Amino acid sequence: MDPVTAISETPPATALCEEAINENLSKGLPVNEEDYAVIVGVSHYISLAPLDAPVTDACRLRNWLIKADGGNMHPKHVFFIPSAAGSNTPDQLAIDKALSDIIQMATAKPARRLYFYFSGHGFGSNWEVNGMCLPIWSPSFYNAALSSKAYLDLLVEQDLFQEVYFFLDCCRDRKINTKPLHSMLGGERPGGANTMAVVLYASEYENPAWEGMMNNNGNLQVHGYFSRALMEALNGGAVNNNGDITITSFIDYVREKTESYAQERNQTQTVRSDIRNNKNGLNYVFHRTGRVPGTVLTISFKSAGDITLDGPDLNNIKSGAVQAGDSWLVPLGKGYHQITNKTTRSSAFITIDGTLKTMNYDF
Amino acid sequence: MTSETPTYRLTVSAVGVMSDFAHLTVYNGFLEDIARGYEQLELELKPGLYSITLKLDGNIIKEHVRLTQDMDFQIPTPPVYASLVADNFKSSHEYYAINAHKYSLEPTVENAPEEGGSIFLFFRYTDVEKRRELNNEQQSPGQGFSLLDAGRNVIYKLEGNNIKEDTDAGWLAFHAVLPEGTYYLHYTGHQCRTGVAEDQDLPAREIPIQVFKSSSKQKGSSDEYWQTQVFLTFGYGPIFPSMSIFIAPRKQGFVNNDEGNYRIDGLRHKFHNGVYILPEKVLLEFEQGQWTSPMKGLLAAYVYFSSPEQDNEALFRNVTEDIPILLGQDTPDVKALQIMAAQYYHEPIPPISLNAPCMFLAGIRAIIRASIKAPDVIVDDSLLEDITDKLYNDMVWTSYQPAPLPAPILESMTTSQSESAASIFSVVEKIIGNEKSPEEIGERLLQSQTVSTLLYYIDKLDHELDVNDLATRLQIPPNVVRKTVQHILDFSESIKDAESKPEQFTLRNINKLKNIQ
Repeated sequence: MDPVTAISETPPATALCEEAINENLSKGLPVNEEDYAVIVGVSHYISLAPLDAPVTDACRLRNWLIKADGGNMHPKHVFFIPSAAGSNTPDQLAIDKALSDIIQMATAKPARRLYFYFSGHGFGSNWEVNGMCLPIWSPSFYNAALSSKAYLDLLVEQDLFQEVYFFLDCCRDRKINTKPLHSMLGGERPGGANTMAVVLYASEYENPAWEGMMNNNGNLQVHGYFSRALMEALNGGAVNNNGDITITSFIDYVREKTESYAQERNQTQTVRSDIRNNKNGLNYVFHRTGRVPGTVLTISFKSAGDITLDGPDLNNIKSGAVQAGDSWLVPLGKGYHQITNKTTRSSAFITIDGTLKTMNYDF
Repeated sequence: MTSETPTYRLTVSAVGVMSDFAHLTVYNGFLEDIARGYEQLELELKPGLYSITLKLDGNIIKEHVRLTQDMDFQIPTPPVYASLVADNFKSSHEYYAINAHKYSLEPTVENAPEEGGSIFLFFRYTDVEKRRELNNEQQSPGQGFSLLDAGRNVIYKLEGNNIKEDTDAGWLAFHAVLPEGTYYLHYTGHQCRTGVAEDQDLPAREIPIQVFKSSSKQKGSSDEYWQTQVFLTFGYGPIFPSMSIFIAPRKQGFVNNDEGNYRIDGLRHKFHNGVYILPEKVLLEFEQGQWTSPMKGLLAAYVYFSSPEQDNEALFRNVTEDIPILLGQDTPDVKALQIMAAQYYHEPIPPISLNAPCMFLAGIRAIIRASIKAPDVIVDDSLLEDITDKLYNDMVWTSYQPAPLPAPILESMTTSQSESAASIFSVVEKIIGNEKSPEEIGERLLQSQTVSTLLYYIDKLDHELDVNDLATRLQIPPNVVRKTVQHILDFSESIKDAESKPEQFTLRNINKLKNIQ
């Protein structure tokens, strides 16, 4: 991940990550006991520029996974591995130990899902191997990075999980002649044909992934563009009109939002996705929210005319004459909308992605 | 009475250069991805709002559609920049294309023989303005480049009378007629200029380039020999990942409006990014036996065997049978493809051995994977074995950190003597260079990423160490693991009485190394 150039000093990131609670546990309601996660955020490096977003972003994902209306996971199944200032941790063994514990639990009783998230510095060893840099990474030990492919292969080939979600928010700039580290976990690898794997890289091979200051519900915080989009997707942005997040709606949302965050800052960042063994189809629902996304849109008119506002399937939502300076307040569902001024013969498309409760639009 | 909603036909097409490789996605009004594919999509849809995204070469174009009747929606492809100086690329300019064509037909080296295949190299900047911005001193792009023969002897330096160039416009052409075989384009590296932030050091690099045997199909015609054409763009130094390589009949030379070249460059570009797409038009050419470009065949076969798809098995069995006829059975890429095909079809590795690298990195990777079960696939102490732990992974072509350039051949020295002088010496001898003290040698040894990463694994792995497991982790052949371990042990033995030694050389680690012998 590439850092922004000027960012105000923030307190140590670990201090910002409060303990998350799954309310369902205290209420005796069911939780997703068959799900597991390893969440790694590395902001601190010995030889590389510090990053501001990874620990914060990792913390947000960890909390979403635990929350009852999020991943609804048991907190003990979520292994949160942040870096800390002035420390070489986490090292490879810390991450392998977490995976080893999960593999033991998943061997003892059926497992459904594993999330693996890494945010930090990274590089593209080749198009299918990304190096996830450990805090000790340095030019003289440039293999001190975990191999995304080796870790994914390890997790998939165990055939222990029905689904593996692999999210990498790190740069994929090319580093030639590198061989990132394989896991120290050995053992038999029976196959891998039964595990569906969804892999999202924050950027295309050879390209950087960026972090930047962003407005998060009124708070300015540094986030990775990809991680920000990921969290928005999980928090409802990727919900379809049935209130479900499918693999397609999730990937599409994360890709589009990451691209637009980068474009807003005159940068380019394109999410790359790979899916293995998808027997469930791209419309497989991996999270249900029960909420239908929508936004209350305020349209301010700069010129007078005879206006029509049409919805995604061309149903007329509102029409009428307006004067310059008038405004309409319209609740809209997620989707494309077209506004037309028949008098001036001008038209525009409005995209409602469902992440904002309110939005303003000048026409 | 029925109230069924009518449907309309929406045809979405990418039009223009490289349209075969333009990826299209159609979203419905609810932002749901409803169709995706390359070049053209034909859909039957209900009336509504839709959006279309075209992606090509890092460019993204987004358009909205209000569908109320049948509609053909065409999106022009964005400008494409490439090393190939083909007519329809934005970065091709007449002042490059004319000279590329001219010197692909005329050898630039003196006393060129009439008979043989040839290597044609064309180096250029994006345009003359970029040359002025990046290389104000008008230094020759040929600086640091040499062409070596199969024994790694320098046969041409890219300078003086061996080349034609225009350092103002920013291009260089090199063309030599040569016997079939493997050659190496050697680059000594580039040191960044102080005060130029964008300029970066470039390490030395060597790239195998094959001159293919004359085609038996072509015998008797004037185009009996192949020309291997290499196009490379320069920034502050050479931008190796931009390298394009083509194979054309020598007498035909470079044709700047050859439709096939766009597809080859598009295939290469997608392959580089791990996208294994074979456009319908390419597949159709193969089905109809119309493929005249060996590079298209090689590239398509590498793409196909790298992909998990299995929908053209019969077709690619035929392609792998045709390529040896066209390019020669003993060509490293032909052998590499046979290995790759066996891996793809889950068949036994054929009894093949190689001592020289092939041109495609995917081929080298396949050979290294094969060597874990079939070590004899790589000839012991060959150049191929030597480079397996020095590969660069930044382009589809094989390239690696080379041994230093050998001294020029003395006329009194016979070929066999010169080959023997250039034979492969031990990995460690090359790593340690001129260091003398155990500390210096140890430090230098640990600068080798193979050695330091191997020792890291030795230190951290608790289970029984296995040569094949280490080879898989390091992506090198088991024999290279064995030799590296032996060299570390030899060095460790030589410093056993030294007062201080590198921390990685602990008794525990050395004992673990001994146990895997």
